[in-house]
Amino acid sequence: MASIHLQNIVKRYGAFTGVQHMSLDIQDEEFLVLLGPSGCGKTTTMRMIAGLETPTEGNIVIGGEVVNEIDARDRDVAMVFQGYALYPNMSIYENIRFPLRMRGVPAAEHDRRIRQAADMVELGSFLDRKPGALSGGQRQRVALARALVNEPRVLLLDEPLGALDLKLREAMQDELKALQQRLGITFVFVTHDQHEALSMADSLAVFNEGRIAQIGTPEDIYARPRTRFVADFVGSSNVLPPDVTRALGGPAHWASLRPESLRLTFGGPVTGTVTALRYLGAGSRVSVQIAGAELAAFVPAGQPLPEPGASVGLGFDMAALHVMEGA
Amino acid sequence: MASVRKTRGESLLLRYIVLGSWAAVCLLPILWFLTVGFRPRTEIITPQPIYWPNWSLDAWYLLTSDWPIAQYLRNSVLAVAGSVVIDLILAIPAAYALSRYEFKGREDIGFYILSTRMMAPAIVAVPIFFLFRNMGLLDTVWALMLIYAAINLSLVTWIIRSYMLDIPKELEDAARTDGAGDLTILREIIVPACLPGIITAAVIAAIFAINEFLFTLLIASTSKAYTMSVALANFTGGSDGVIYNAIALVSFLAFVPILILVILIQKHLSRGLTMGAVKG
Repeated sequence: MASIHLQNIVKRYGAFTGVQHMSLDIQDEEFLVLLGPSGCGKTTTMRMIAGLETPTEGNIVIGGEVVNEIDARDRDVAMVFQGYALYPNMSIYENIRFPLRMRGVPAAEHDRRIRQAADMVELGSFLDRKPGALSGGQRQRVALARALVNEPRVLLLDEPLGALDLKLREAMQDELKALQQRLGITFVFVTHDQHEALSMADSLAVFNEGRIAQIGTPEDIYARPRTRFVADFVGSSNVLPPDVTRALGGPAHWASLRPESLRLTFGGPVTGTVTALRYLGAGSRVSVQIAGAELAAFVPAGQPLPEPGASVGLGFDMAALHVMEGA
Repeated sequence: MASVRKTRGESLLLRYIVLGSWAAVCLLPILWFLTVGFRPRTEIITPQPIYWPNWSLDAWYLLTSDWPIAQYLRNSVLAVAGSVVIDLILAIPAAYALSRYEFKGREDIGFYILSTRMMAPAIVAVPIFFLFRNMGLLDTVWALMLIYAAINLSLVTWIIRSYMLDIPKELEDAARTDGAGDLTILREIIVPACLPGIITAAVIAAIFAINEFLFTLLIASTSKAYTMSVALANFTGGSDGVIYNAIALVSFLAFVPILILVILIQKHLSRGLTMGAVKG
């Protein structure tokens, strides 16, 4: 149980700067998601919290203590890795036991705690198998049990669900969220999947090129992106250049407009030509050419769809047009 | 159903025929060599082809009565086993450091270690003789252990290093966040994960060591330190000429320890020799 503060962190690799003057406050028992494209510095940030990388500048404070000089093994921070990183030569039981042995937990307690951790992730019947004999989802659970067995203050998860198929991934998302609420551990979760980020986060930090582009609640970031990058990366928003914003009745500034906020009308305030249709299951995405820009509108299933080349009107609430502060 | 089983049976039969033939190709020279060891000397050197050889234990009696062959075999096994142990104790930490720690000149040091292998052994023969004489280790099995270990150390380090490079870095990161230090990681994570590579390196080192001749000849001067490879030389000249059946028998006996070693660890060895290739 601990809060984490990153104070003006810089990480350089030779001439390349991976993380640039980053400050980040993570509250105790918070579920923070770090979201961003590959190479944006989110994993590096997480590895610095874990102690696997040392910041070039700045301080990392965990639970009120500057931990820059403290080795990863002594930070009481557990981590779940993208590739699970289970020890291939040890059984599942031994894998989960490893952190207990390393931290000098009395041997008499091992069995009880291993079984408790295994039950928490519903792994009880696999304890004597080797990691090679388990499926991806089961390995994921082992990695989680191993990370949680020592009841760490902070759990770091580096794209832990990336290798799972969609259905399993959604189930694990629910489980992780429930687990975090039950245990009250601070979770820091790295992903490049915006749906995963939006559905799991208490607080969401969007990374771009080694900086935090925006941080806030998922609702806030989805509805009020501060920059074009955030609007574009979180969900599939229409990013409007100043002249298009003006043509739609807003100020001459960059703005974002979510496809689901747009309605197709017949002869609305603005009209355009349908250029493409894409079927998405729950509805269709209709691309409309308007004022020199292409906007996407989401039409729920069951509603009539225009033909490509047809002329349609677009309607929306002015409140849905979000004018961005940054460029 | 029946036809399925039949084709399966046929392909299995074919497989046995192919593999059996290949096994015969590999084994025949060794078995032929063994038969040479148990035939009279006159028969071996006759130019006439002999279809039904006569068997004789001449060579065996020669070896066991005139030569302390058991002592030679013991020296060989001790020196080889000792050298492999020394190699592993030194090479595993060295390979770990070369594969994991970032330090200046890491690649250069790695190449330097390998380059010791490229030198002609004769260049260091005289210095090594004096070195061991000054240490008072001439004509001892200890000296052979050290020499064999030194000869193979670079190769063993290099092989183990290449296996360690294949182990995902994440495993170590995980162990570190789980609370393990460097030595624990090496002992509990890295060594078990590259065990096939370590075993492969050990077998290759053992084969090189048991075949070593030049330095053994230099160090050993009595049966106290003579090994099988030097014993062979006893039968290649002298007033009796070349004693082929004794050579064959000594060679076969020298081959037995390695054969036993390979059979014992066969499972790990085949995994070790192919693992690097598959991972590419």
